[in-house]
Amino acid sequence: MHELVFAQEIINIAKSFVPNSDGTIVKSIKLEVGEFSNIVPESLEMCFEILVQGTQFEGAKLDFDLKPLKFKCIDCAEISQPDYPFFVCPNCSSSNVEILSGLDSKVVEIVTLE
Amino acid sequence: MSVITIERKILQKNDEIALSNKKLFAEKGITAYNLVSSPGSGKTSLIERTIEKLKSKINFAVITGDLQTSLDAQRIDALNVPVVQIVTNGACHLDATLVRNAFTQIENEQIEILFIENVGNLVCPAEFQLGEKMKITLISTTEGEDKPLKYPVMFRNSNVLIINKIDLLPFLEFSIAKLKENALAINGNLKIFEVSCRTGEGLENWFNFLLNDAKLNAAKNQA
Repeated sequence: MHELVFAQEIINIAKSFVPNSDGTIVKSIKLEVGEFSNIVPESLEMCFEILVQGTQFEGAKLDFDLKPLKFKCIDCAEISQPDYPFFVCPNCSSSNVEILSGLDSKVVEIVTLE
Repeated sequence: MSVITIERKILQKNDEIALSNKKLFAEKGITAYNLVSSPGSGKTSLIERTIEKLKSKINFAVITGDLQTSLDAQRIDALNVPVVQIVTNGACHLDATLVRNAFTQIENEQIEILFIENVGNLVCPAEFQLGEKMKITLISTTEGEDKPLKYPVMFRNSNVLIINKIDLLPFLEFSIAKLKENALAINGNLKIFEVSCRTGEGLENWFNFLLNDAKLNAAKNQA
């Protein structure tokens, strides 16, 4: 259940941008979630809903932008979206690849009601 | 309606603390290794065998994490090296803050290699940097060749794979070749060791690698 930690970190980040005191209503928090990041959106939503009860974020929705795994082959420079979960270049079969997206998860924006 | 643009990694705070741990370890001449695996693959046994063999050559310390009990710390304490048990009370992984707090208990010791034995779990510990130089994943021959495919993030984020319990191979329908093929498809740069912590087979290669790696890292940090 590491989603609970992720949910708390999302709230901590959001708090640093939307302080409790100013009465701003948060409509949604947009997340980029890597396909390869071990985050289950449904679990994260559930944890978030529990943690925000009674805070300025109660009622806010999490908006997920799922990022597919994408990598660049260091040997032949081909950029590909591989067949999960193999990290092998479909062009030259090299396993020497650099991940471009799909590993990390980020908070990208907060939408507030004025 | 207004939009605040942020672009911040969800685990950024943990990553920052991990980076400061890493700097602290480097300043003190310590190389930290984060040992991860399923429960029962042999992390504690590997630590025991390694320290028994190498403690006359290099100074060890261990931070070990479990949901409950200090049984692992008791085993390691018998080897007379500094050890701290983190009881996570149910949390499924160690994080950088837990490691930082545990380290304060041993920070005045002479340490060159710090083993951080993570909670037995192939999922959550993959996401949390602790300040280690590298993650070392263990897998045992009783677990099945398909584990790298089922838990790819852990294998992708590790530098070393140690295949333990090779003494059991005659009794198992387990293909080391297939396991390696799967692991290398996830991470082509994995350095793989085949060992038995029970009989000692294959451990010499691991000992040599570890000593060499820790010494190179210490030299690099001094430069």
